[in-house]
Amino acid sequence: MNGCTTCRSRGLVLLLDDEQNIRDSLAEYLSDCGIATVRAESAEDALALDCLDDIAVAVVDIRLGGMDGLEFIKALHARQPAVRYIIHTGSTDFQLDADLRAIGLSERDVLFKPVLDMALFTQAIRQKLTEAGS
Amino acid sequence: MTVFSQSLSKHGGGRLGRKLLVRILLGIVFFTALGTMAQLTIDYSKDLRLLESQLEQIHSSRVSSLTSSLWHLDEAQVESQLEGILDLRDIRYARVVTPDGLDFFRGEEADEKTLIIRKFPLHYTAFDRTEEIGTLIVAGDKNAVQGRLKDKILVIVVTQGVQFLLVGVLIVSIVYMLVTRHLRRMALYTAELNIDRLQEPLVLDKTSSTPDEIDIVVNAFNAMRENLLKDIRQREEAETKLKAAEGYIRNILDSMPSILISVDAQGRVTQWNQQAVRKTGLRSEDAVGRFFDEVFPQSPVGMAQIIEAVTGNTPLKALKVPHKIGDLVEHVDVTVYPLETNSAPGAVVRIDNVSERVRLEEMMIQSEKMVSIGGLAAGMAHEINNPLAGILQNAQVIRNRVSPDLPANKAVAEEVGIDMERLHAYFERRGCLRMMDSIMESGHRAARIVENMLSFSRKSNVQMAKVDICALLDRTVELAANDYDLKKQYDFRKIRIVREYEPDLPFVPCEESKIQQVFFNLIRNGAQAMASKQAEACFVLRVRSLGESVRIEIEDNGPGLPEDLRKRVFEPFFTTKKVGEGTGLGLSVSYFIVVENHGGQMEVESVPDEGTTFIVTLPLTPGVQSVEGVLQ
Repeated sequence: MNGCTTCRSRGLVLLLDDEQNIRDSLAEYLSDCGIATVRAESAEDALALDCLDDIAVAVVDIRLGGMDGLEFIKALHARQPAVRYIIHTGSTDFQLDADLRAIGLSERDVLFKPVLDMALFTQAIRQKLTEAGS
Repeated sequence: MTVFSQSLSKHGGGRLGRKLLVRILLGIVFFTALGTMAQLTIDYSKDLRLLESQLEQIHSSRVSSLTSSLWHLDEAQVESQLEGILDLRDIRYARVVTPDGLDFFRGEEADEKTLIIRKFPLHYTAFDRTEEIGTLIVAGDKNAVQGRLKDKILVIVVTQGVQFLLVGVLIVSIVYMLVTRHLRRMALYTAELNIDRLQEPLVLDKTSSTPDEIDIVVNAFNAMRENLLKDIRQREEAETKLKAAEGYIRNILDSMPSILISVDAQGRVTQWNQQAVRKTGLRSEDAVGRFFDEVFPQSPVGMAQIIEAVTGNTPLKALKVPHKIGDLVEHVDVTVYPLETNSAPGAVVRIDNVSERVRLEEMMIQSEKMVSIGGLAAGMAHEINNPLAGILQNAQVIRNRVSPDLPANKAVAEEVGIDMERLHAYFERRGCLRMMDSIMESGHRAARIVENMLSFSRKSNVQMAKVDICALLDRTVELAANDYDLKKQYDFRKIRIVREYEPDLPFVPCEESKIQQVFFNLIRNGAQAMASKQAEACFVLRVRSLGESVRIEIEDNGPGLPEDLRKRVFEPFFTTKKVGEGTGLGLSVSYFIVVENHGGQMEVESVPDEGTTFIVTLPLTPGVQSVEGVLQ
């Protein structure tokens, strides 16, 4: 999709959200903070990305058209176990299931919309990137 | 009875004995006199007869010899013979008178009335010729007889007197033995008789095979006593039963949680139960008999209405009547029932305090309102949160990108040929930065509202931990102080905080963050309320144990709440603050957390111009997810 320049850099952050407004604004914010992102509107699109191998962190919405966020995480994890995840959901009653916990997700990896300060994302993503890099 | 017994003991001997004695003595005197008289009369006539027979004897024995002496004119002989006659008893004088004038006299003359005079002719018979040669006159002296009798009188009187006296004494003692002493005993017994001694029968010190009148009286008396005793026992039993029944009814009336007051047709109190005593402070004995409006002026029902109910014979009912007692407002159900029996017209006034029920109903309405809001929020939260996220995130990006500090901003500005500093100054001057902040602020508020609304859902898997409530309260005060300092130009440290914590309080199982949220809301609201009042602000924080629960009071000395507002403070979206200052959900969320999520209670008490007290009660036994009463 767009931002192919960033595709080549290591430590790419995937933003998967069906709402463009949210997806783009988050991408713009992160880019201002020097974090390279790649965006996808659906799980299917995301899995078809060329630069899938370069993704280190994925920020995933749960409710999506087609494959939902949970299935996407499981699918991507099956292919690339090193990818770290942040769940960004508008559902108020979301809870982690056993599979997600097994992948390594915990409550602090779940951010509920609306996130009042996107600095939270930068903090979380940077932490995940350093974890992945080490 | 005491007077009687006193008089009885004072006279000792008894009146009857004395009376009897006096009468017998009088009788003795009378009869002695009578007997003496009779005796004297008899003796006198006997003596007289004796005198007469003596005189007759003189006639028979002396006349012949005297005649002979006289015939022979033997004077000496005559005189001697007269002398001889005179020697006889009671002879006053003796005289012989001859026809030829001779007079021989011996003795003394006396009044003829006192004498019995006999004249015997002296006939001398010589040679077939009888000649009266003289007359013998003999005078018997009645006075002598009387004199002798006089000597005897004393003897007779004494004899008769002693006789009668003996008889009298005998009679008195017999009467005493047979009657008087029994009468005395009976009198004593009766005098000392009272309810307690009624058991002891009347027993006299006498034995008789055949019952006499005294025995009959005693038996009759004992029978009467038995009957009396039985009567008393029956009456006592009846009285006890009556008293028990009365006490039972009294007890029922007093045990009722209602105020029960009965009045007569004029409105005078006839019954006044314990609850009425408690409510008015007036004792039953002070209230009964006085007019209803006089003894219960604060009554939620007026005298006129009661009288109307009585005269119209129609019950009066008024439910949930607000009733002000001092500063507190209670809700009462008032019923006035006219009495059904016509014998004593009147009415029963019943006043039930239903404040608790009204409060629970209000609470239930609140809770249900909140739950329905919670349900609504859960349904729409996703749909609102996504656009909210869009607004907030974009606003934040824009805010970032007008900042002259970001290197990327400078690069793009240079590319398009503008100065970032000046652009920022422009936005600043045009208020755009403030507007952007405002967009974000509004977004935050909307997010908080949704979040708060979402907390109106009954969660079943609440994680409860044992928490030291006092420490939590102190931490929350600290937090509120910081929060408050940042946002308002009001110095939280100027608020005096009085802590009244009961020592050794048990830890309370609760969701700490939620309860902290509750305290935080209350403290922040209180501080805001006090800020509007020109007086030394003061919080009083009280924590004490109620046994099964812990009661936390947060009292402020702010302007207080009028009753109509006080009732509504827990209503969702109810706020007294300016639009934008609050979400209108803080207290209702707090209420929901306490009542629905912790099974506790939350109340507010307020006195206008004096302050408001929020009371949170948290149970020590978790697991009860609904307030008691609400589910009933």
